[in-house]
Amino acid sequence: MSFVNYHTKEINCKIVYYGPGLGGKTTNIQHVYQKTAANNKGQMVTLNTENERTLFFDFLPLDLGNIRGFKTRFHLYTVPGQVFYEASRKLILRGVDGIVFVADSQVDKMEANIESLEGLKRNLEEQGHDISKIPLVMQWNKRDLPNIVSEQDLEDKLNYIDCPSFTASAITGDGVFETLKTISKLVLLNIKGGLES
Amino acid sequence: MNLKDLISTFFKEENYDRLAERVVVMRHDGISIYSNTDDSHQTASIGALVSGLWQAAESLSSFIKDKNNFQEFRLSFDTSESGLYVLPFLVKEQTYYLCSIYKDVQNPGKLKRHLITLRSSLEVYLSDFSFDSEENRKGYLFNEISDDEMDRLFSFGEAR
Repeated sequence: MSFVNYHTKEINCKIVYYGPGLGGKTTNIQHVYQKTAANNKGQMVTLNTENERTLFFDFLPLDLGNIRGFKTRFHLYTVPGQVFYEASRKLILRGVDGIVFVADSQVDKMEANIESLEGLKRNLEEQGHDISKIPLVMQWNKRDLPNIVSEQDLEDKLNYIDCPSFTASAITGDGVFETLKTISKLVLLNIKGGLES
Repeated sequence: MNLKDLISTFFKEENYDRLAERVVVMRHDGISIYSNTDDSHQTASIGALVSGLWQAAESLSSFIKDKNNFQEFRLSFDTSESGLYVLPFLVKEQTYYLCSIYKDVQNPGKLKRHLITLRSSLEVYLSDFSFDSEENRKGYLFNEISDDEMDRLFSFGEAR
């Protein structure tokens, strides 16, 4: 749940990158980390296995600057994509304000994408969220690879709630900031509690 | 006074901010609301890690038969002189964590007892606090945000 301090005019929000294993969630926030000036970011925390798969989560605090006098800070998290880390994914989704679903565009990954999206829907429901109401952006990642399905196919099979979607190649950075900018806007527009009491 | 300022006043008035190397108070989702240092980025990392650590430990505690309320648990990761100690506390039924990171302490047991007392004092100090003024706010903070405003927010990165 977002945290707004009206007195000091600070906004804190939590964005989670969700999706199947090896889909590029960590690569997304690594790119954000690399392209962000030092005074706008904190240390990137990664809790990995020995072979650099995400074990628990990655975390990057990002100071975006001011909007109408409010200082905004986004907390970017990734979940571990591997199937058997379901319990960890549930924990990381607690208090989430917005989600980027990073789908792997490769033909043989469609089933993993669908399974992961179903898991996201289920885990959100357990926490009282409706996947069609929470800020959500789809990212069709790995568009630089051969043997990928069409964008239309990804839209048809995964984007049944018709949320904003972007093609991306997280490894080169294409689409990474566009995705983040869109989910950030959706999250900011979804913060409850106006200035008038 | 809001919760953040109230907690900050509590620590500074009694010099509790000097109890340990790092003293951080955070919400259950890891967002820090008080730190005894000015390094906000490092504090954010501590918040995320402690929240994850506590939530994982809390899930593991489901394997303990007849366990007590998890609010009665403490989380400790330490050697005989350095470590991490986390205590949960409640403010109007919402969970917060009091986290201390200490090193080169001669008697960590004494420090931990002190922190348990401190946690109780903090709960009493905050017992009259009310979230009402914030809960009563109506509508949304932003009714619309222009593309130019978003571009300015992201002017540090690639997106233009």
